[in-house]
Amino acid sequence: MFERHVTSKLSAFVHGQLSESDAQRVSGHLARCSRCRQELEEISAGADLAKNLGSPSAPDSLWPSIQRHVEHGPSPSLLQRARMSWMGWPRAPITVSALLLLTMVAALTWYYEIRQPLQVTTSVAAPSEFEAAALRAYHSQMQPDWHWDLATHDAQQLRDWLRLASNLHASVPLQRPSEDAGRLQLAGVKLIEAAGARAAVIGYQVDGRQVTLLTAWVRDLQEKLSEGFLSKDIVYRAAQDDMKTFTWEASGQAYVMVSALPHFGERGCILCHTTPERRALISNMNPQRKN
Amino acid sequence: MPRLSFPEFRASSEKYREDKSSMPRLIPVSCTAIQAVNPNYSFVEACQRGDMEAFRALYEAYKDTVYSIALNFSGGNQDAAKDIAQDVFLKLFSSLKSFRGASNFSTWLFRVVVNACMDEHRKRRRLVPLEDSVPPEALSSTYSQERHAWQKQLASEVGIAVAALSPKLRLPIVLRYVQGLSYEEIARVLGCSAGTVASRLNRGHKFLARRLSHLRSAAGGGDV
Repeated sequence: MFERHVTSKLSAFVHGQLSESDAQRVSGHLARCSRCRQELEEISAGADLAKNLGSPSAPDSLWPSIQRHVEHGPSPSLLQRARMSWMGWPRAPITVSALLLLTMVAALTWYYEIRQPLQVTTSVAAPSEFEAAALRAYHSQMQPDWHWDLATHDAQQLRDWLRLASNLHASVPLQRPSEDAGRLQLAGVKLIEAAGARAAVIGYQVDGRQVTLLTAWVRDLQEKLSEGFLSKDIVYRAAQDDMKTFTWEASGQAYVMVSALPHFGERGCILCHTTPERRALISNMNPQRKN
Repeated sequence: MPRLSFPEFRASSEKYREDKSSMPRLIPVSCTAIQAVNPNYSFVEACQRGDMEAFRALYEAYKDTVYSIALNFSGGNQDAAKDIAQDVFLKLFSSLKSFRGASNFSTWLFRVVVNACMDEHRKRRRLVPLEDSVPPEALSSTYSQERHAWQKQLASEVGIAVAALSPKLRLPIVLRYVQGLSYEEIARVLGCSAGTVASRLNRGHKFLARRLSHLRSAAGGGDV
């Protein structure tokens, strides 16, 4: 009879982090398996070496620099001061060029972000690992053992907490139009690991229906979702049980929205989009292409 | 959750902010560096009001914790460790006003430290070749002068080896051995499962054992 090796549990066994029953099972297996005993020897050796990591004290010079920043703000370095003076270059042409460039970028952004209707691609391919994680999170929220890392209805609180806990950004506006009154409510946020990246699950309700938003930095994902600067390609997928998923990227973060809301779940988008122009854009979403 | 009208859920979030009973006690969790201090939630409130003395006391309570994680993560690079520690405390100062205490403070603090370590790693990876980033003499000079010379050398070599791990494997090692966090605590800080923590520690231990095989007999056994 074949018995499963216990190599994945050996560090926990060495550290006494296993339950009594698991520890007994590991002990029993080790008595019979030379391969796992060799692994245990190696892992124990590594653990013994790691014990020698020190806990040095903070230097006395640390507090004065923190205090200086808190009381006066950071002083510019020599390089920063040089950059501020543009290193002797004439300022007027630089300023005009920068303003022209900004105007062009703003115009392009307005055209692609505001003027154009959103392009939605309907996908029939298997969901990505990131998307599958979002679907799992959606279902997990319905379980009684689900708990938020931060349970809140407050958008400001959620944004601040998320930024500090994970450096992820949640573009949840603080002011909402009157039409949202009573129809949209935040539930909370929880950090998980998805597709190899630290990701945030944001839960909310629209018209009493659960919506789950999963987001992570694109650079941290171990799979490629979509590409293109200013790309607004939104991948829509109809999952089982009337659930829909939307996958997109914005400002370096990947997003998956999962909901059972009707009409492609576009109502779920009102969490982040509160202006009449953006909502008109959302209402124009029309899945056309298929892949 | 009951469906609230807009004014009602706005009022409920105001009440949440004022509800002091929801504020956590700052409970030192498996951290020898902060077991001597037991700040309570009114301490955090003082910091939230911008009280510099309270912030200084908070700094004194956690400075060694933050710095030791940062230094071990940076492989003994004191400049990087100071940058990380400074970044952490500045974030602490600016963000305590909005901290509402829905999660344990120490878990929240460790997350800030981990994020700062990763930010510094990304920044320095762009600027500094890896082989130049860990001056061996800096590691041995950071440890207590009372240590035996051999132990200092051992600590130095272990620190260099840990610095050679990827950040994903390095962080659980540092949090476990420098701060004594349990697998569950490490999992909460890193936002992953305890099983993932165990797997990463497995890989980290094996790497150290192979990389420092010449030191294995000298490191000795004992409780971990």
